[in-house]
Amino acid sequence: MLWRNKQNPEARVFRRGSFVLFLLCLLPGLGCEPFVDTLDFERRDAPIFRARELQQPAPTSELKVMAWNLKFGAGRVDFFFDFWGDRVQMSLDEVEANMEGIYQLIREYDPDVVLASEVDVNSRRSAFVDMVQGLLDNTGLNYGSYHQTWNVRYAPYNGIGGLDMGNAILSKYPIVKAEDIRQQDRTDLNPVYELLYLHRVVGRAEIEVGARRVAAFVVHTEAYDQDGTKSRQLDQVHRLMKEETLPFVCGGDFNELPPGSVRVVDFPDERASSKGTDFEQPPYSPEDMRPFFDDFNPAITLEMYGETEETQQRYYTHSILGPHMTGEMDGLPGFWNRTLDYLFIRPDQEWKAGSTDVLQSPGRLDITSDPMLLSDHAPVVGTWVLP
Amino acid sequence: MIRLVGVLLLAGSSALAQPLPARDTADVGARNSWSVGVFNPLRWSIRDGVELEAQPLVALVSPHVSVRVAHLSGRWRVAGEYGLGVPTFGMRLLGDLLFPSWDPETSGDRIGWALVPSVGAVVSTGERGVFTARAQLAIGIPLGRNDANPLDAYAPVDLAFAPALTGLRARIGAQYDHPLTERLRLRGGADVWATGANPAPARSPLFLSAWAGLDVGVGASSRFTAGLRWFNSDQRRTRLVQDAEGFSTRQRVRSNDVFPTLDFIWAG
Repeated sequence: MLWRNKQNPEARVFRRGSFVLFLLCLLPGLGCEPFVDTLDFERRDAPIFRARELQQPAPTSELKVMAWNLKFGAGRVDFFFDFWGDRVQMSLDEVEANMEGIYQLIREYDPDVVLASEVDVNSRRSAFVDMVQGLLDNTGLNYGSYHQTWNVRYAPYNGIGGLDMGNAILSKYPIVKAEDIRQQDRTDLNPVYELLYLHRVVGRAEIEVGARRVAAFVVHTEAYDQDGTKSRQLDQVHRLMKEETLPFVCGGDFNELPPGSVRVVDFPDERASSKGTDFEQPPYSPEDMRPFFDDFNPAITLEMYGETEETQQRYYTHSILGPHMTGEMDGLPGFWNRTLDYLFIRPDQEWKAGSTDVLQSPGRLDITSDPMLLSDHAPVVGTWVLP
Repeated sequence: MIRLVGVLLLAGSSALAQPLPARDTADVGARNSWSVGVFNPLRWSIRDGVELEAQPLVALVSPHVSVRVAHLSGRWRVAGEYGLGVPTFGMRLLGDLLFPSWDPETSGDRIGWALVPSVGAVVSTGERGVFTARAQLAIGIPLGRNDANPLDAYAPVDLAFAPALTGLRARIGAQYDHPLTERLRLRGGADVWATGANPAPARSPLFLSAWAGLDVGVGASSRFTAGLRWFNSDQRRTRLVQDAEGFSTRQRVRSNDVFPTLDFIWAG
């Protein structure tokens, strides 16, 4: 999402960036730490963390699950790549305040498992806050696995600097095994920027819930590719889910609309100035999500989603534009305007009746927090009845 | 590379104009003497005991100049260094890359103007082998609003912008410059640097550096230089430590980086 390709009209930036990147790659060539981690693996163990103070979870036959893209604790701070602002960095106070809002919503909903994406652990843009440990220490979640997707020591792009971002699986119950499963990289980037661009990794964790062992997947597929990368990544996620032998829940930010979506273009949070840049929204391919709905049990079914914009908007999960600004197209304050986030379980397993929803605003499932202020994605939740 | 060094050594030994002097010492050149490298600064003695110093390439975008004045000569030589710089042009030129390209119509954030005066003292002793100690202080004086933060990049970059972005850069260091032959000098040294405060979370302001290099005389008074410089600094990096139960914790670590130093210094 950060790197401009040769076709970009701002090629001047690319050329200057390439030169500096070259120097920065060359100079510390003898250094003891790598300049960038290209995450060169297919599958590897992922680190598991735990809260400083563990809380004993109650025995259970069901799990409350939440999938939530946390936008690296930025809340509604408008970063430059969203084209509604020009921020590149937050203060520690800002990040802590935003994270406190996230902790508060998690404590309110009180999930057993959280599938979180865009989690920073040591990034300059988010004041180097370790959000995995923060989530563990400030919610009732005891264990967390971190699935790194971006590790650049210094990205010389618009002052962004160091990045360490990934997905996380957080659980009240012990995580006994965690894996990173590498996804394909984009092929439409300049090689220099391909080196520095974020990667995509599916996180998988095995969780012991009493005598049961279940699996959890966290997903965050590509957003800005023009080369079919996201489609291939979704195929891989679908395949991983089909091959899984344990009971599982899979969730996250799939960056794709559900099949049957009424609105597929001209979203009210798009900004004209993003056109022609690397951050222009590529066309969606909602049919890429069809196999997930055919083969698995979604928290929000296509029947719930409905066939009109009125029914579908109840389950929208994403808006770049926050409520503090108005859209260029409709002049209205920002609100959720498309669905990109999902939860799935096996087709022979069940969600507890009435438990699934998108926490769009205060009052949904009795929450009092306003998710619209906490991230550019809304949490998708449901209670999974364990087999 | 070996062939190149051989040619340079041969050229150096055949020149035999005069022994290659130590450099970066308290010695201030005689009137109209000068030296300049690609990366090393231009030094030009405007009169005996007074030298002007600036990096020409950097000065194009970040005006600066330093005056070196010989205060004491003899067995112990002492020089004072008094400088002034305005780094803002260069910082703004690096917008899009190292600094944010803020939009005046969006946030109005900006890279602010700053003056960077500096003062230093250099003491040297020895004729063939020269020992030098130095202390330097540069401070940033903001001229109005500045929204740029320290870069948290690599140590040399952070140190370069430290006065403007943290308000302070202090350095104490020592070096020894030893002649191996008339045209070959072995040099080494160590420095401790400190910068001003960084935005939270806390970051160590101390930078440690050690370096070694070889100067090879070329022609009458020019030289080819090559070496390595090591920095140890808090670049906000972490490492994972796994306990006996298999759980990880994230611990802050200081970074170690080694940079090659290459230059050709013309002198006259």
